[in-house]
Amino acid sequence: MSFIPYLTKIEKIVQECNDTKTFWVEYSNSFNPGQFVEISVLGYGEAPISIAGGYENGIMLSIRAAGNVTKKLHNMKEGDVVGIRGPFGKPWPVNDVMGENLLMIAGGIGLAPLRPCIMHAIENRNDYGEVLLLYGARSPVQMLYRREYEEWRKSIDMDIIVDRGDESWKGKIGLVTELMDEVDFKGYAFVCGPPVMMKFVSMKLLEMGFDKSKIFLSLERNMKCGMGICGHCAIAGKYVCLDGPVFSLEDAMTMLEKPVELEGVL
Amino acid sequence: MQPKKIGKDALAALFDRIKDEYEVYAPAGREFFERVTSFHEVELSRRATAKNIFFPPEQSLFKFRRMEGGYDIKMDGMKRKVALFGARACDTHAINMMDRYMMGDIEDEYYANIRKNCIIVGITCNEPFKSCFCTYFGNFEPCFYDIWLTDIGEHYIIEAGSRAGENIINSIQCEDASREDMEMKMKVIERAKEKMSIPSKKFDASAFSERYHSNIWHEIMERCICCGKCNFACPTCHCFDVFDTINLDGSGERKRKWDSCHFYDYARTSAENFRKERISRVKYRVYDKFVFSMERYGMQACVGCGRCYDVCPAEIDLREIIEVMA
Repeated sequence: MSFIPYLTKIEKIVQECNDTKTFWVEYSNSFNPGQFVEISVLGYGEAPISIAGGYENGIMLSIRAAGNVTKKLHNMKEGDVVGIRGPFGKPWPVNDVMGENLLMIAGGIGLAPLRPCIMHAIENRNDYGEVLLLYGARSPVQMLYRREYEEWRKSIDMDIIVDRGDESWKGKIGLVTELMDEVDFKGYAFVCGPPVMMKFVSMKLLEMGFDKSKIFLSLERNMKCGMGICGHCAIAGKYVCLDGPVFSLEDAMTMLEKPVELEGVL
Repeated sequence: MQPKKIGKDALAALFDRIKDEYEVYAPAGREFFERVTSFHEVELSRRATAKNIFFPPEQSLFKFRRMEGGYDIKMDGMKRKVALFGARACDTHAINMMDRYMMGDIEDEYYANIRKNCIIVGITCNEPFKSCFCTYFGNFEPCFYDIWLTDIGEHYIIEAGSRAGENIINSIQCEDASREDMEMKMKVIERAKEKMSIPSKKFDASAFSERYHSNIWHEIMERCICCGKCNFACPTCHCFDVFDTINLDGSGERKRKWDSCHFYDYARTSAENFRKERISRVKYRVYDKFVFSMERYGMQACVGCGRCYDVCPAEIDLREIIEVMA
């Protein structure tokens, strides 16, 4: 493990929505669903980004233009050189869920870390019971991977809701927790989204009777080194880069310094 | 090897012997160890933090230069033979903790390159400083050393803690320490220990855990201005930020520099600042010293050196916190 990034090329870039692009980057290290990498633009810095999927030559990274590094990435083109370190972190426990029902709940760009898990469930569809994806986005134009939904729906169930619709939107309007009201589901839940969404989704899941040990959350922190040394991603005595980013609700709730995402969750 | 003793005027010879083989760092007027080339520069009566020798305040991780079709990346080859001259027992316990942070399952090669080629020449504290409370954690004696000195009046007792230390001692003029000399050493230690002002209650990490939500934090938080000086003075604080610098020709450097968990931006991401409240940052540091470090590394990260109190503009004393919490 080292701070030296592996230099590689951006093979393809797709504008995913108004503020997010997906980058196909050549990279040979294998990864598990839920892990992240550090992507470098030399001279600008490094940012931790969840792996949104794999393809024959490498990995897909869906990146919102939010900071110094990610804004620069949005100005780069296919063929440009970036650095990659990783993958890092503990993945979604996809093997523990085998034979069980799986509910995935994503908010906004939180769909990206869940996408490899969706692909895994589709590719190994017979290993799982019911598989349901609930997705909440701010608006129809901010939804990720719209071109893939039709394919996904052939294997798994999916429901979508947006905070604000537009003229073309004929779907549901509201919060992702409202979609949860409509379903009766038992089994495992994987959740990723903005902190406030994870809080209310966790509360709702507990209300629905989900076991704390069967709810998993992917927490976002400022992972600078990915090696449990720099300290930035620590929550209580845990390092999100090593012990996470995926934590069971049970483990997250017992941390002395309660993750901000779970403030108010009992 | 049997303990030896050397005359006080022979210490310069010991220094020179070490200087022949190692880059020597010592307390020399500031709060941190500094490079010294002559024994006259060494201030043995001063204590200083040594972490900057293994983990500099700012450090290059690698340099890069644009090339046809990409970049050329070069990491500094930095294996160096270093000697700490005049470390205190608390420094050895702090280095032990730093070793767990930086050379555990994952090795920080920048730290390891210097740490693994380093010898420690330490000295017993005859006179504790007013902020010292190392005895509270049983840290008055060093946990490892190559050479250890104890001032017993006319002489220093000189003891080897490693093969490297033995070789150095064998190469200088010294005589065997007598039984009386060793008794004198024990007396010096007992006297120093007695002078230490330590909390009255026995340390109890579980009491800390139970009082996580206690009101005491509000009173401390009111005083803390989150300046981060305690983090920089602390011999076990090891957080760093990573950033790039770039030159006009497109070449540049990735660097790291010391960071502080007290700073507002420390736990900020593009989505949220996870320790927006001052109180959450103050608590985090204290718990990381006493509780989280114990859970993760089996060792308290606070060694009882009191350096944080020395530099704190709000005069926050960890002993005070322990007194209320433990």
